[in-house]
Amino acid sequence: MKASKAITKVQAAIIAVVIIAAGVIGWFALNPPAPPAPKVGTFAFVGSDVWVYWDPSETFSNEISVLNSVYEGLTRWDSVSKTVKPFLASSWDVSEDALHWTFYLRNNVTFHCGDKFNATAVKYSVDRTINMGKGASYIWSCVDNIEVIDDYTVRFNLNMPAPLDLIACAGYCSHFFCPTHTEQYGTDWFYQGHDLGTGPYYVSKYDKSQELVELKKFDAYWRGWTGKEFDTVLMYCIPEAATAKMKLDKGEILIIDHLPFEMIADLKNNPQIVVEVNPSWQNMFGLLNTQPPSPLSNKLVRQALSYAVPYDICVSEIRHGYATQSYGVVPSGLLGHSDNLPQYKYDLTKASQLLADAGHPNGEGLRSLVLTYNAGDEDERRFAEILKAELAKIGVTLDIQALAWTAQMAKAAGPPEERQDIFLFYWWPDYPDPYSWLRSMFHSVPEGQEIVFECAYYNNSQYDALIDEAYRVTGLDKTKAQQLYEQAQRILIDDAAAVFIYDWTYVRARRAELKGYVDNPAYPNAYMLYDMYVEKT
Amino acid sequence: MGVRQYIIKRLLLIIPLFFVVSTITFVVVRIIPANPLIVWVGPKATAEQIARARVELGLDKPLYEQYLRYMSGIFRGDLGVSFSSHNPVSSDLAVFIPASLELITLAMIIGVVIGFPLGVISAKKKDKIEDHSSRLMAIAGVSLPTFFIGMLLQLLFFKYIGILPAAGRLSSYIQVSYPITRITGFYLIDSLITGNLRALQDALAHAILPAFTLALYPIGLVVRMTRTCMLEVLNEDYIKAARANGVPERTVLYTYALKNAVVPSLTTLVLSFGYSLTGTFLVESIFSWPGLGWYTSKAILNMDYSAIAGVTLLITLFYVIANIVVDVVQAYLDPRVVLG
Amino acid sequence: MGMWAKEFQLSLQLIRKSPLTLIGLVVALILVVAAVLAPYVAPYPQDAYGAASPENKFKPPSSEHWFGTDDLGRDVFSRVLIGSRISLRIAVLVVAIALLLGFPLGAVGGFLGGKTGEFIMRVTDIFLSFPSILLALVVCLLLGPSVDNVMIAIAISWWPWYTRIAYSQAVSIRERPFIEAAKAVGIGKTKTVFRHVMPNSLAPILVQATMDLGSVLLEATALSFLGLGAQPPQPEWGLMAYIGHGYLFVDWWCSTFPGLAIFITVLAFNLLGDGLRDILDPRTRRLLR
Repeated sequence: MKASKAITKVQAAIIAVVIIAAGVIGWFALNPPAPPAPKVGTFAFVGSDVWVYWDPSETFSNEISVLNSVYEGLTRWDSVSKTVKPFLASSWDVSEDALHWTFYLRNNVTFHCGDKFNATAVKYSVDRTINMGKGASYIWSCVDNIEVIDDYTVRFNLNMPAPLDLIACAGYCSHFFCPTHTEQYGTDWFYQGHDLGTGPYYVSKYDKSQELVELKKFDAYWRGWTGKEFDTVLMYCIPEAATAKMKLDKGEILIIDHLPFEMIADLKNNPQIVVEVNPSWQNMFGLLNTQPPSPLSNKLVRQALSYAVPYDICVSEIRHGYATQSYGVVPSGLLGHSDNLPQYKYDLTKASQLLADAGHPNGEGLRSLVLTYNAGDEDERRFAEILKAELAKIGVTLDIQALAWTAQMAKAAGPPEERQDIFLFYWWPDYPDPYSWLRSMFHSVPEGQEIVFECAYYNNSQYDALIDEAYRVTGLDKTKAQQLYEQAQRILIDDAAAVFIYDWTYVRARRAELKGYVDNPAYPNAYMLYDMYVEKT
Repeated sequence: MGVRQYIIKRLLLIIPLFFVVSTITFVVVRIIPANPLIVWVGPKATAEQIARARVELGLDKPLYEQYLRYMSGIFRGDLGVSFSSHNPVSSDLAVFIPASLELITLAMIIGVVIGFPLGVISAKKKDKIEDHSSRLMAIAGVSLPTFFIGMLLQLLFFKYIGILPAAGRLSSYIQVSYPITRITGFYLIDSLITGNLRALQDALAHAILPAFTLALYPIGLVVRMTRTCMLEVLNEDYIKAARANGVPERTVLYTYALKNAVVPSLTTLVLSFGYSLTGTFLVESIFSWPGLGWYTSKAILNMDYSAIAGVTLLITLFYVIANIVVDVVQAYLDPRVVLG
Repeated sequence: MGMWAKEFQLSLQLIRKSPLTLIGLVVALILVVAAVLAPYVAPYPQDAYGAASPENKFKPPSSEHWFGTDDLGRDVFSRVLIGSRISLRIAVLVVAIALLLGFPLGAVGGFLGGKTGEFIMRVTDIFLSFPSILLALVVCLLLGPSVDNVMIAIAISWWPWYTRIAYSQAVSIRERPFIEAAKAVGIGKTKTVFRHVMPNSLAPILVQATMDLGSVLLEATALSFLGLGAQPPQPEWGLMAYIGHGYLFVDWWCSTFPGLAIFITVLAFNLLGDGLRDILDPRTRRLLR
C-alpha cells in the first residue's frame, strides 16, 4: 500500500510539472508580444550609467542625449550651415568690443510647469549655473553680470571679449529652467527624474534600474506640432551591444548610438536598416609624458614614437575607415583646425633613426614604456596592441595596462615615478571652440594645482601665451584666433607632446522608417526628437 | 545550549563582525589608488571643481573624522551617497537588490526541481549509464563559464528560434502600457498580485534565460549532494536489513535515503546563495539585468566608497544570516549536531 | 612505503572502474602536455607574444587558421594553445598557495583546539564573510592589473576554505586512538600534526583542491571580465573570451574557442576531483581491499 502511494506521489509531481511547463510554453507561443504602439519611439544607447546629471545647471555628460529635447538655450548650432542659429533668442546685438551682448527673446515660450519663459528666467538660470560651479559651468566664466532690460530682452556684460552666441549654443549648462519651481524643489527633485524645461518633450518617468527614460509630448511647445511627431519617447540604455543590435534587427528600437564595427557591416546588408555616417568632433590622443623620469622626456624619443604609429592601419582596421588621421589637436569643422598642419606618417626607418639619435639605438638602454587606457574600450585596446607590435619592431617594449577610469586618472596625477608614459583617451568640446582641448590637455599647470587632464605634463610658456591670447581674441577677430591656434598646434606637433591619432566619424544604425534624423557634432549623441518621426515605407 | 540562546548569541556576534568588516572596507578602499571624485564631478572635470567636490563630500577632512562620520552613518542606516549615481546608496540598493533576489530565487527553484530527481536517478542507478550521464551533466553545469552558456542561450532562443527576449527585465512597451506597480520589487510577484497578466508573461519570458543560466550551478550542486548523501545511506547496515525484511525499494530510496540528502543539499544551496549575490554579476552583464552584482562591480571600478561599503555590509549580513539559519536548521533536523 | 604503493595501486584500480574519472584524468594530462609543448607546436607562436596583423582580422576557421583569426588578425588556435600555460599556471599556483596557507593553519587550529583554535576559526570566518570576488577585486585594484596579482588576489580569498576543512578533519582525528597513542608515547604536538593529523586529512583536501583548480580558473575568468588580470595582448583565455564576446554573433570563433577551452579544462578537473572523492572514500577502499 505504501509503495503504490509513493509511486503515484512522485509520478504525479512529475506529470504536474510537465503539464505546467507545457502550458506555459504553449501560452507564450500562442500569445506573441504585441508590437509597440506607432506613436511611441524607442531609442537606445549602448552602455550603462549614461545619464547622471539631471540638474540642468550640472550637465556634463551623456544625459544631454535626453535633456537636449527637454531643455533649450538661446541659440543652437546648425550642423548643415555650420553656424549658430537663433533659438529661444530670436535675434541679438553685440557691441563693437564684444563685451556686451543683448538677446531678444521669443515671447511665446512656456516652461513645462506652465510659467512663461522670459528674461528673468534667463538671468536666473545662468546665475544659478555660474554660482553652483558644476558641470560645464565654466563656459560662462566670461560673464561679468546679466541685466534684465525688459521681459524679453536680456543683456550679458562680459569681463573679456568672447563669442557668447557660440557659448550659448553649448549642449551642456546652457539651458533655462523655471525660476520659481527650481527654487521650490531644488536639485534632488531633478535627480528623481523631473524637469522644468521649455523643450518639446518633458520627463514623465525615469526608471534608474532599467536606465529607462520616458518622455511625453509637451502640447504647448512653442514650435508647435504637425501631428506626425512622437507622442511618447522611450530612451533606453542597453549595456550589451549585441543585445541592442538584435533589438534593432527586430524593430524593437529605432536607433542605436554606436555599435562595434563588425556589427555595422552585418547591418548594412539589412534593407530595413540605415547606417548613418557623420563627422564628429571627437578624437583620440595618446598623451606623451614629457617630463622626467619618463624616457619620453627626450623629444627625439617622442618623435620616434610618432613615426612608429601606423596611422592608416589604425583608421582602416580599428575604425574600419570611419575616421581620419588627425591634423594636430582640433578636428575639422572647428575654429583652429587646419589641413596644413604637419602630420607624422608611419615610417619605421625614420623612427629607428630618431631612436638612435636619441642615444638608444635599437631601443638599447630604454626601459619599457607604460601605456594606460580605459578598461573596456575596444578602440583604445586595439590601438595599444598595434602600437606594442610596432614598437617591438624597433626594439622598444610597451607594457599595456587597462585601468578603470578612476584608476587611470589617479595614476596620471600621482607621483612622477609612478605615472604612465602614454595616456590614451578621447576628447570632445563642450561648445564649438578649440580652447577646451588646447587648454585642458597641454596648458602648463601651476605649482600646487591638481593635475586633471594635463597628462602630457607639458610646460611651455610660449604655447600657453599663444592659446590664452587666441581665446581672448576669438570674440573679436576670428582670423587672428585661427592663426594663433595654428601656431600653437605647430609647436605641439613639433614637440610631439602627444600622438595625434584620429578624428572620429560617428557611425550609428537606425531603422529605415525613422525619418528626420540629423546628426549634430555640437551635441554628441543627442537625438533631436522633435525633428524625428516614423514613416512606414 | 538552547536554540534561542544560540541564535541570540550568533546574532550578537554580528555586531563586532560588522564593525570589523566596515573598518576593513573603509581602510582598504582608501588605500586603492583611484580618484573617485572624477566620477562625481564628471568626465571633463576642472581642477577647481575637483577641489570643491572634495570639500563637499567631506573627503578633505582628516581620516579619523571621515571614519567617525562613516561609522556613525552606518549605525544610523545612512550609507552615504553614491559617487556615480548621485543617489543615496540605500535607495540604489532598494532598487537593485530585488532584481538579483528574484533571479537567484528562480535559479534555486529550478536547481531543486531539476536537481533532486537527477540526483535520485544517479544514486539509484549507480555506475550505470544514467548515473554517468547525470553526473556528467551536473559537473558540466558547474564547469561551464556562465557568460558562455548565457550567450549561447541568447543566440539560440532569441536570434535563431526567436521566442524569448534577449535581455532586460521587461519590454519597453509593457513598461509604458502595462506598468507594474511596485510592491515588493519582484516583478513576478507584483504583477501576479495586481493581476497584471501581460506584464507577468513578459517578466517571466525575460527571466527564463538568465535564471536558467544561473541555475546550472545549483543543479550541479544539488545533483552531486543528493547522490553522495543517498549513497552514504544506502551503504548502511540498516538499509540492508530493511531490504532483507522486504521493504520495497521505492520506500528505501525515497523515505530513507532521500531524507538524508534533503538537508545537506538545501544547506549547500542556501550557502551558495550568499556568494552568488555578486557571482551573478556575469549573468547580469550578459542579460542586462539590473541587479546587485552589476551594481557592485560598477561601484568597485568607480571606487565609489559609499556604494562599496554599502554592498559589502549587505552581503556580509546575508552571508552571516544564511550561515546561522543553516546551522540552526541542521541542528533541528539532525540530533547528532549540537549547537554552540 | 609499501603501504603507499599498495594504496596507489588500489587507486589506479578504482580509476579504471570509473569512466568519468578516467576521462577527467586523461584530458587533464593532455592539457598539461599541450601546455608544455605549446610554443613549439603552435603554428603561429608570435601571435601569442604581441605580434599583430590587423589586415587579417576576423578570418573564419580555415585550414590555415583552425580557429580563425581575432580582431587583430592573430591566429586564435595558437593563442588558445599558448594561453593554456597561463591558465594552468594560475590554477595550480593559486591552489598551491592557498593550500600551503590554509591546510597547516586549519590542522593546527583543529588539533590544538581551545583558544588558539577559536581564534583561527574567527579569523577564517572573517575572511569568509567577504565574498571571494570582492576580495579578489580589491586586491587587484590595489596591486594593479596583471596575472601575478590576480593569482595573489584569488589565493588570498581562497585559503580559508582549506582551513575550514582541515580544521574539522583535525577535530575528528584528534579523538582517534592512534593519536592518543602518539601522545602517550611522547611525540610532540608539531610532529603529531604534520606526521599524523595532516596525512590523514589529506583525502577531502585533495578532492577539494582538484575541483578548485577548475573553480579558480572560472574566478580568474570573471575577473578578466572586469578588466583585471591578464592585460592585452596576453593570450589568457578569460581575456580572449571577454574581448570576443562583444561580437559573438558576428565572429563567433573569437570568444567561443577560448570559452570552450575554459569549459573543457574546468570540466576535466571537476570530473577528476569528483572521481577522486569516490576513490578516496575509505568505505569503497575497504570493500576492495
